[in-house]
Amino acid sequence: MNGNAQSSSNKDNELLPNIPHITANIIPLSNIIKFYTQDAYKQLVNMIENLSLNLETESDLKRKKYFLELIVDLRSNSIKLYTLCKWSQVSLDVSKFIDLLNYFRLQEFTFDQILFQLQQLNNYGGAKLPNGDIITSIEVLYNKKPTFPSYNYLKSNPISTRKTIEVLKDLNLILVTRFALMSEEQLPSRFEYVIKDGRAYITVKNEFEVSITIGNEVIPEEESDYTKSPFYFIDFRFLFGINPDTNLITYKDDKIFTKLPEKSLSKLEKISNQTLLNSGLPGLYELLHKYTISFKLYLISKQFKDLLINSRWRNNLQINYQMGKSLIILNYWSSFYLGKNWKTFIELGIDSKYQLNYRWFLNGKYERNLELDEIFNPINDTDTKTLNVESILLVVVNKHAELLMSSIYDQLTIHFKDVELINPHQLLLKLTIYKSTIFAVNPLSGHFYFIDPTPTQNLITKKINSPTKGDMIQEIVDNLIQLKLETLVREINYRLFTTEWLSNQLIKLNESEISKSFNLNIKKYTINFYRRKNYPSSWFLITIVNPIDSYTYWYVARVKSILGEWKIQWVQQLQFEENYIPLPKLDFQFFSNLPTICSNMIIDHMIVEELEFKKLKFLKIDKDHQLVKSFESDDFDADLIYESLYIIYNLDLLPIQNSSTSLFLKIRLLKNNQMEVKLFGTFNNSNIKNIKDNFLSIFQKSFVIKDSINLLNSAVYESNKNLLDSIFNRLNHLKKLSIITQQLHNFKISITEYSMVDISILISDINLKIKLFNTSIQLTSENSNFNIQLIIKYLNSYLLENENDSIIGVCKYLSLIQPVLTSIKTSQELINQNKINLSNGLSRLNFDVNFITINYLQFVYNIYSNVPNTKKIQKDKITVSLAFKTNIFNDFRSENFHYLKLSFKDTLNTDSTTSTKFKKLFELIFKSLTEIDRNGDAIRNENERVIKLNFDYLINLNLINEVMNKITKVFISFLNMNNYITTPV
Amino acid sequence: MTTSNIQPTSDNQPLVKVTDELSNLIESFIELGILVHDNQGTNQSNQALVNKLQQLILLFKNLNDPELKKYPIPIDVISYIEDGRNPDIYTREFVEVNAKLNAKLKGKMLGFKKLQNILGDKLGKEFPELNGSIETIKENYA
Repeated sequence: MNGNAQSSSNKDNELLPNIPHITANIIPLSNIIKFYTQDAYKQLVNMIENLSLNLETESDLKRKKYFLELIVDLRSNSIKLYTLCKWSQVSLDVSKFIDLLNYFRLQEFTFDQILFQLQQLNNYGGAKLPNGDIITSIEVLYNKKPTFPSYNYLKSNPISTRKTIEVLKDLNLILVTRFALMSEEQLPSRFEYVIKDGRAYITVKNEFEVSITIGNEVIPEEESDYTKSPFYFIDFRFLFGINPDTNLITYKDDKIFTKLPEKSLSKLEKISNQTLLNSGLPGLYELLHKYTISFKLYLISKQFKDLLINSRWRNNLQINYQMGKSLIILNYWSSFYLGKNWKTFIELGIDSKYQLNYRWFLNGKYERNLELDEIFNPINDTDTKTLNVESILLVVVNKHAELLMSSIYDQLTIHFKDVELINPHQLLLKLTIYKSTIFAVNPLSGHFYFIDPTPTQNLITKKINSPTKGDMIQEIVDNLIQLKLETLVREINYRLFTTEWLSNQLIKLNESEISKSFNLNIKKYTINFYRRKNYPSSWFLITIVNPIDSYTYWYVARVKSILGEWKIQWVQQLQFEENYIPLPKLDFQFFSNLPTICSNMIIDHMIVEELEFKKLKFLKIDKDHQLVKSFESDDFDADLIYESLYIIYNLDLLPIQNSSTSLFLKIRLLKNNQMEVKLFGTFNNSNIKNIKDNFLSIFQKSFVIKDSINLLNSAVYESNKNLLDSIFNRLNHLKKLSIITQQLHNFKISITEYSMVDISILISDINLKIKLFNTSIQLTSENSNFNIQLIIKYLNSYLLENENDSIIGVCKYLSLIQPVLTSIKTSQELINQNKINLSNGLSRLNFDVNFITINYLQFVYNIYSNVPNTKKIQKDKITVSLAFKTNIFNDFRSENFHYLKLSFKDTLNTDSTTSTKFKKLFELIFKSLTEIDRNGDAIRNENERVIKLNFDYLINLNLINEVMNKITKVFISFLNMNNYITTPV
Repeated sequence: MTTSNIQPTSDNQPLVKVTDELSNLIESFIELGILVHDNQGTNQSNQALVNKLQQLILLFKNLNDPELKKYPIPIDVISYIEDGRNPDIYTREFVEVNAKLNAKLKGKMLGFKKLQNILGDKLGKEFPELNGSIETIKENYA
C-alpha cells in the first residue's frame, strides 16, 4: 500500500480504522509447546506403566525396542518443535502479512462491486415518457372537453312507452320476416315458435321453451351474413318438472315447468349467445336439448337417490351418477352377489340421437325390453306423462327375476319331471313323494328363498345366495338337486332309523370301488350304510340315492376293511316286486319288509358260500322249477317269507345208482325267524326202504333231509359255513348207509337191521353192528368171546387207519377167521375134557391163543412138569403160528385162494432146549399131520390139502379145525404117554 | 531464517531461551535412548535412567513459558513442518503474494481515479447543475 494510499494515510491517519486482525487458524506458540510437552509426558508415563506391566510377557529386548521407538518418535517431534520455534522469530511479521492479504482481498471485492454497480446503470435504457394522447387531444380540439365513461352516474332520459311499443312492433315484424325466410336447415324441425312481445318464443315439446330476439334490423340475405345480425337469448325454462302432488317428474301440457335460477340463467345466456353467433338456431337446439336431457337425468338421479334413502329399495340399490356426465348407472340387487361387482345394471343416458334412453346390462351383455321401451319412448302419448323411476326399476327387476326363474326351471326340467312354475317368480319343487317346497326369488333384492323353509332348505338358501364362481343358474340347479337329494336321504335315513336300522358313517368307499361294485351310471349320488343290531359285523344294507331322478338303489353287501381300505366283498342289488323296480315305493310296507329281505339275502349268500366251500357244483333255480314238481311237497306255509332253491349236482353225494344226477336244496325262511333247509332228491335202494326220523325220511324212491335253524341266534351268522353241516352230515350217512348196504347185499351178507347210524349184520353166527360215523365206520359186537372182541378191535383200527368205507374185506376176513375160531374152541374143549393134573393138582397142559396181528396168531401150548426131587414146576412153551397166505395161482373167488400157514418155527428155531426135549412130541405131530393129508391112503381133493414145507404146513381153511384137533390130541396123548417122564438132556 | 541461529534481540529473549531448551531436550532424548539401549538391568543403570527421565520432565516443565503466547503460528506452518517442508518457503510465498496483490490494487485504484475524473467531467458537462455535487465527491474521495 504504497503510493497513493500512503500519502492519504498521512493526512487521515486518525480517521482510518486499523486493518482487521486475523486470528482464525492461528495458534499461539505457547499452546503448541504446552500440547507437545503434555503429550510427551503422558506418552512417557504410559510407556513406563506398560513396561512395568509386560515385564513377564515380553522379552527385555522387545521392551527396550518399544521404549526406544517412543523416544525416537518424541525426539523427532521435538526437532519439529525446535524448527517451529526458530521460525517463530518471523511469526509476528507473517501475522501482519496475513492481515494485509485479507485487507487486500476485501478491497479487491469492493472494486468488483463498483464495476457491477456501473454495469447496473445500463438497466435504465427502458425509462421513457409516454407518447401524447392524440385521440383525447382531438376530442378536446373539437368538443372543447374530453368524453369519459359516466358509469351510469349521469341520468339519461326515460324511454317513452310509445317508443317501446314501436320498437317491439318493429322487432316482431323483423322476426316474423326472418323466421319466414329461414330454410329448413336453419330452423330445427322440433322448434315450434310464436312471435310476440318483440321476441320469438320457441318451444320443444316436453323439453324446454326459449325466447330469442335480434339486435338490429338487418335481415341477412346470404347465410354468411348471419353474423351481421345474430339472434340473442332472452329467457329459458324447462317444460317439465317435479309434480308437487306426486313428487314425480311430470310433463303436463307445458303447465309444469322449471325456471332456472339467476346464476345459471346468466351463464346459459352467455353460452347461448355464443352458440347463436357461431351456429345459429340448430346450434341452439342442440345445446338446449342436451342441457334439458342432462337436467332430466339429474332429476331422475335425484329421485333414485330418494329411493335409496327411505324405501323398500334401501340396501338393494346403488346409483352411480356424476354431475355433468349424462349417464346414470343403476346397480340393482346390490346386496345380492350378482350386483356386487356391477355385473348387472341399467344405464340411463343419452343415446346417439341425443334422446334419453336406457341400456340394460344383463349377464355381461346389453338387453332390450319392450316394457322399458315404452316408458322411454312415449311416441303416441301426448297426454300428461309422468316418469316414474320406481316403475322402471320394477320392470327391470321383475323381468330379471323372471328370466332367472325361467332358466332355472328350464334347467330343472332337464332332470326332473315334477317341477312346476307357479308364477314367474316361484317354482313348485317336489322333493319326495310326500314333500314339496316352493322356491322363489325376491325381485326386490334378487335373493332366492324357500317358502316355509326347513333347516336344510335354509342352508341351501344360504349357499344359493352366496357368490359362485361358475354359472349361477347351474349352481342353483345343482343346489336344488342337492336339496332334493338331502331331503330324500334324510327321509330314508329317518325311516330306516325308525325301523331299527343303524346308520354307519365310518365306511368310506373310494370311487373305483363304488363304480366297480355298483355299476351305476350316475355322476352324483349319496351312498349310505346301515346295519341291524343282530347282523354279522361285515354285512350292510347300502342305499344309493340318485338326486337327479330320485331313484334309490338298495344293496346288500359285505364290506370289509382290508389294509385300511374298505372293500366290497360281495354285493347284490335288492330285487323287489315288479312294480317296485327300479324305484321302490318308499312306504311303510317297504321299510317293514326291508329287514327280512336283507336277512334273506345274507342267508342266501351264506348258503351259496357254504356250498362253494364244500366244493359242490350247484345252480340257483326258480323255486317252482319243474324238476322239483315230481317231489311231493308238504311245505305250503302261510308264514313263508322267502324261498330259494338250488340244484346241486350229485358228484359224490349219493351213489348214482341209488339216486339221480341232481339233488335239490330248498331254503325257506319263515316269519318266526326260522330257516328251514331241505335237501331232497331221488333215492332208490332196495335195501333201504323206509327210514323215518325227525330229520330224514325216505319213501317212494325219494329222500328228504330237513333242518331248521333259528336266525335270531346270532351265532348262526358268526360261525362260518356251518349252516348246512348237519344236513350234509346226514346226507353223508345216507350215502354210507347206501353204499354199505349195497356192498353187504352184493356179498350176500344178511342185514338184520338198519338205521341211519348203524347196520346190524350176521356173519358166520357172529352178530355185528356197523356204526356209521362221519368219516369212518366202526364195528361192534355183543359177542362175549374175547377173541372176537379182539379181532373187532383190530379191524376197527384198520378201518380207522384206512378211512375205508369198504366193509367187504372185513366181512371176508371174518368168514375166513371163522374156522380158526372154531378150532380154538374145539381145542380148548378137548384139553378141558382130558385134564392131566400135576401133583399139586394143576393141569399139565395149558392152551392159549395170541393174536399178534389180524393175520398172525399163535396157538400156545404150555406144558408144566415137576422137576424131580424138588417142588419146582418147569414150564415148557410150544407155539404153533398161523398166518393167512394166498395162492396167487388160484382165482381169488375160489375157496382155495386162501391158505393158512401153520408153523412150528417159533419153537423149533428159537428154543433148541424145548425142541430137543419134546422131540418125540414133534415127531408125533408131523406124523399126524401127514396122516391128515393122506387121510388113510385115500387121495384128498384139492380143497383139503396139508402141504408140508420145511417146518411149515400150508393148510386148506376148511381143514384147520381137523388139523388143530389132531395137534391138540397129540399133545394130550403125548402127555399121557410120557407121564412124569422127561427126556434126559 | 530457520536454518540459521536466532540473533538475540531485546524482543526475542523467551524465544532464544526456548530454542536453547529444545536443543537440550533433543540432546537428552539421544542420551535417554542410549541409556535405554545400554540398560543392563543393574541398579546403577536404572538409577541413571530415572535421573535422565526426571531431567527430561524438568525440561518439559521449563519449556512452558507464558511469554511465548505472543508468537502467533498459522496452522499452515505447522502442516509445512509436519510434512517436512521448510516453513521459510511459506514465509517467502506469503510475501510474494502480498506484493503482487498490492501492485494489482494500486493499478486498480489509479484506474478508478481516472474513471472518476472522466465520469465527473462528463456528468458535469451533461448536467451542469450537478457540478457542485461532483466536485464535493471528488474532494471527499480524492
